[in-house]
Amino acid sequence: MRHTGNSGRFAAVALCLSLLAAACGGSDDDNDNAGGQTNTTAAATGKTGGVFRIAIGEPAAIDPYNTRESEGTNVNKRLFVGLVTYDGNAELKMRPGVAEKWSFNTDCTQWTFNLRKGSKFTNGEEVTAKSFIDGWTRAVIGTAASQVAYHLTDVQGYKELHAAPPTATTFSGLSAPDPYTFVVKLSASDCEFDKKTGTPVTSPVPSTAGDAKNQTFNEAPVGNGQFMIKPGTKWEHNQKISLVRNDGFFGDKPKLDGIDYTIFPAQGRLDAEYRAFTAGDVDFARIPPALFSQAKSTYEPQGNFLKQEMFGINYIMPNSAKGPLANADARKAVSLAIDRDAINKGVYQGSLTSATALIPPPFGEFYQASTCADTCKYDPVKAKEFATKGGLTPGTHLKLSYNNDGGHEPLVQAWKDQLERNLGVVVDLDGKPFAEQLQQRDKGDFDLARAGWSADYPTADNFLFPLLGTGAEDNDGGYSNKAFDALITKERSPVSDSERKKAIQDAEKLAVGTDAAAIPTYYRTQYRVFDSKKWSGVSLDFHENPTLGTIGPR
Amino acid sequence: MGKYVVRRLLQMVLVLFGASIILFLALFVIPGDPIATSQGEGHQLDKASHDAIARRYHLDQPLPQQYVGYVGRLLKGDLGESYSYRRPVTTIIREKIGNTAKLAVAAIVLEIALGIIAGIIAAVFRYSFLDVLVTLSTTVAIGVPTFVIGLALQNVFAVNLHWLPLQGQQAGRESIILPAITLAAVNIALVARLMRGAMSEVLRADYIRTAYAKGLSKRVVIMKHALRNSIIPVLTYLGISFGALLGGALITETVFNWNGIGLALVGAIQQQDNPIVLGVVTYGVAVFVVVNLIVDISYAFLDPRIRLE
Amino acid sequence: MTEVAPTQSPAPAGEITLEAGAGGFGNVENEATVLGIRQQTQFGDVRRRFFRHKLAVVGLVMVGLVFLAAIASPVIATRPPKAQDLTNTLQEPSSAHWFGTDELGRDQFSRVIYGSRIAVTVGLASIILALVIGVTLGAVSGYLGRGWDAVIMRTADVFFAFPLIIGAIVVILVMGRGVTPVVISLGIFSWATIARLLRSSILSIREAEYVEAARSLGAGKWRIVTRHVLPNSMAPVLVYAMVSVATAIVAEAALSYLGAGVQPDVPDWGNMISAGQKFFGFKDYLWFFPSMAVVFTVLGFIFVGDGLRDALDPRLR
Repeated sequence: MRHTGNSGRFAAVALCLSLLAAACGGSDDDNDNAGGQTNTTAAATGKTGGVFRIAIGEPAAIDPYNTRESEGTNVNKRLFVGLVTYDGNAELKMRPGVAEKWSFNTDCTQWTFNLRKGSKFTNGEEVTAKSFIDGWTRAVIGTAASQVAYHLTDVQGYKELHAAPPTATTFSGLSAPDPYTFVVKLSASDCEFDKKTGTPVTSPVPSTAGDAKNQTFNEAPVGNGQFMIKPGTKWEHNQKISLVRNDGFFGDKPKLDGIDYTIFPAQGRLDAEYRAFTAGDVDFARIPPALFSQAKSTYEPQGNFLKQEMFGINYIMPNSAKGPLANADARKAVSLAIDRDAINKGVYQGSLTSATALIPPPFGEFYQASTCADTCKYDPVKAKEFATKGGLTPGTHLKLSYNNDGGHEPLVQAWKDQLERNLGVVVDLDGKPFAEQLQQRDKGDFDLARAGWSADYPTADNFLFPLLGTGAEDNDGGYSNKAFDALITKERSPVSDSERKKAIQDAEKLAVGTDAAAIPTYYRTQYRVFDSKKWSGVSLDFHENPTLGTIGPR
Repeated sequence: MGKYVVRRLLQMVLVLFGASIILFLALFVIPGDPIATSQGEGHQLDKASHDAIARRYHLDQPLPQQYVGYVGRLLKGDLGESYSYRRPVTTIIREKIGNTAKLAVAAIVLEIALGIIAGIIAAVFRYSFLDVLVTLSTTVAIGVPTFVIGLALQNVFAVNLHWLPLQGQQAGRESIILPAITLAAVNIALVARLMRGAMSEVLRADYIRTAYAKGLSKRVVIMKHALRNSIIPVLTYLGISFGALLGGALITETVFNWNGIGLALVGAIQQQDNPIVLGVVTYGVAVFVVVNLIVDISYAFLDPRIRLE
Repeated sequence: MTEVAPTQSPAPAGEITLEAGAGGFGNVENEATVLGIRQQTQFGDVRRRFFRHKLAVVGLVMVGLVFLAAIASPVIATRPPKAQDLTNTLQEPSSAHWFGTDELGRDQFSRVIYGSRIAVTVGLASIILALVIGVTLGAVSGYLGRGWDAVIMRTADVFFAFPLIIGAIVVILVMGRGVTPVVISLGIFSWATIARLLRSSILSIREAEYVEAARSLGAGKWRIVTRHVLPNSMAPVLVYAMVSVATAIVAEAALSYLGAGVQPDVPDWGNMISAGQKFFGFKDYLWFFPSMAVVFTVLGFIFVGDGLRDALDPRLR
């Protein structure tokens, strides 16, 4: 799970899908397309060839042991395929990767993955259960000091292997009864463990990978994915990374001959990336917020403007546990005092979509536009009434915490102005770097916090329990409602699909509508520009990277 | 002479030690956890991972021990490893120093060419229109902040005239023109002022009058006699400024997105990548101090009147 | 780092010129001093020479205008500097908004006027701080000499070796953003030159004939320092300080431009330039007017500094 601090994603993780625990056992149903991972029909007709050029920042790492932010993930997911995959999926289904099928025992503590035969690394070595044991051990061992090993916390032997210094050299929870059977024993029950086995850190590695400090492998990892590092080259730091198609890939072959990543300095990259696109130096770019109207009017008529709703939400986290906003009416007053549309139009050139729900629209049937429709709108008169009812008296100081490294200054300044004008309160802005802001929120040292949330696993549950469940890790607002918790428990138990849906929707209505324990502001709408005359099959994957597996020339 | 050099070297080591202690302490007391920051927006780390990472960067040791370890490695030419990129800081500096050096050389060439010529013209034609022009424009140049000069140049030559690239280095050789002018602007002005001052003084000297009296042409007098005798303070200043330039140009590199060590430093500060901050600043201070020393010593060689004590 | 240029280069330049002149400064009026003639005569001369200097007078007027803007901000500004108007964002300059409006619809003219408060506050406060530290340490170093001198001068070397902006950023990382941290950070990385200047000035004046004379007349050590040595050694320091105010104002704007200055919602020129740069190439008035405000203020202080230098030591022209 992750909070988002920036408009761009500097986030690791995220993988996996599959809707719910029950789907795990039934994953065989999805296996009719046994040979491949994705089956985008439109893509099947396209031509092949071409080199797609993308601008990225210097990745932190592309070696699976420490791949964590979006730049590294972009490259890593081209080079490696794990046990399961949903990379490039638009419809959010977890699909088989190297594992053809998998199963787990009754208490979800032992998982057995059956691997496909004959899939190979690009150096010709076969991908077997040992490749996974090697990859996981190499990443988790304490001396590697991986920043993403936490995905495997619940695997037996993690503690010993991950200690500094390690007290074991092997990963005791992993075993390979035969080369094509990979068994994982967990120290705690986790019925959704398979969702984690698509993250970069769970990639298989060939026997030549060595340990995490092997610089050759760090800079030119040998993988089993759709692409490989162009032979004879490696990651040229701060310059470029070149990939070519892996013709030996077991699944759907990509259409592109290759991908050229140009590495730009991280500072001012958004501008540089967009300018490089306008100059014809790259084929795909994000849009700096200030240039949104310009970009839209230039590229939309040409069909070069991509708009996609993503799995994320921006919201205000009120401190429901203590202080002036412990009262639900006071929180509603805040929500009603904020003019979402005016800020969108005035500050963001209309590029945002005002939110009236916490679970965003891409969730389809789970999405309910009316969740907080009556309080998630601008109404200063009603705001004042609620403030009076909720004891939010003029002159009350409200500390608004935000991260000052994500370009949110105009947004929080607008909120401050509107709250002060409509409610007579005094808003104290408290900007800190993202990591520090998280610590501050953790301590409950705020009244309001600017918050963003992108799901690691795109389940509706992932937008409710972690943020609002009693005692949940990321519930920094301290909201606690037994009725809400009961609905979550129900939704997580083996019930029918319609009952689950109802429980989730009722839970959202209760926490966000009735209790205003989270104040939704904007959905996560993403925009890109690309050359539609040259390329087809361009959209965004779950990581908000281009779907390089399906892109082809026109 | 030898004694002087040794004393200066010892002083230099002292300065470097002092600077490294100040920096080290400051970076250590900065609020916030660098490990958490380098994690970006990922999941907050479990304690075991945090400990393993702390150990990798020696952050599990008490501060004095960390400092001793840092100095020990520094003496071996090891500046440590970046938190964000996990690569040696020396390698990262080496990759970027080329870009910074290119910019520094281009800037110093401009400073020498334009600054010295403008200064000579102003001094020779004292109180003429040209002199007033030089004096006035240098005064203004000194008053305009670097980032304003950069933005103005970008606006005129890149946005409006489309003659030169706006920023970055993708466009090849011509990308360097605007950042070099930006970086050099203030120093051109200062060099011109210095040159004018020094030259004016020399031109009043008796031996210049003697030279004219001998019937030498104005050109010979100025280029041979006056220039040689007035250029020393200018060279001193140029030397010191080159040392500063090599240390990286924080603002020019930011304005022009120039991939040098100044930009790396700005990024590292944002990411709390302390090894890079420590490494780049230590390097910058070291270059500055060393160049200063070289300038002082060569000064003595150039001007026999200076006696070193 | 060459941004040192705006920020630090005046330092070396100032040093070279000033130190050259410092030795001789005492001689100019020393007879008068010894004869007990009031200091006013000296200041009178200085004042006369200063006001004959055209650029200096222009500079004085410019600085005066900036001070006026700072003191009378609420009167001059057409709107409160933080008042937002989301229906009027990013408006080009017009009769309603002379300098246009920003992304939150705030009146840029009013923000530029209020910005002078930060500039003046930071410029003066940081240099006063640098003077307090620099003069104290420089005087101790120059007059007590020996061990004191060595320790203080080596410390000064260390601070001198840090480029101003970088040193300041490190301090602000420790203290957080805000006016006070900016003042402190600029102050503690500006005192070194002041201390050096004062020290060398004291060293030369201490041996001057008129000090010798005062000493032989039986004047006490304290009296010699306060009545003779300090007043006469302060001239180069004051000139340097005046130019340093300009340097500090540029540095403050640069820090805010880099996101390490005052808080982002404060109307401040560096903040405005940094925010306006996002709209570079099509909303250029956003960075242009605050930039001009910085240039105007800085030039004002430099002109005054130049005039002051020439007035204090006419031989330097």
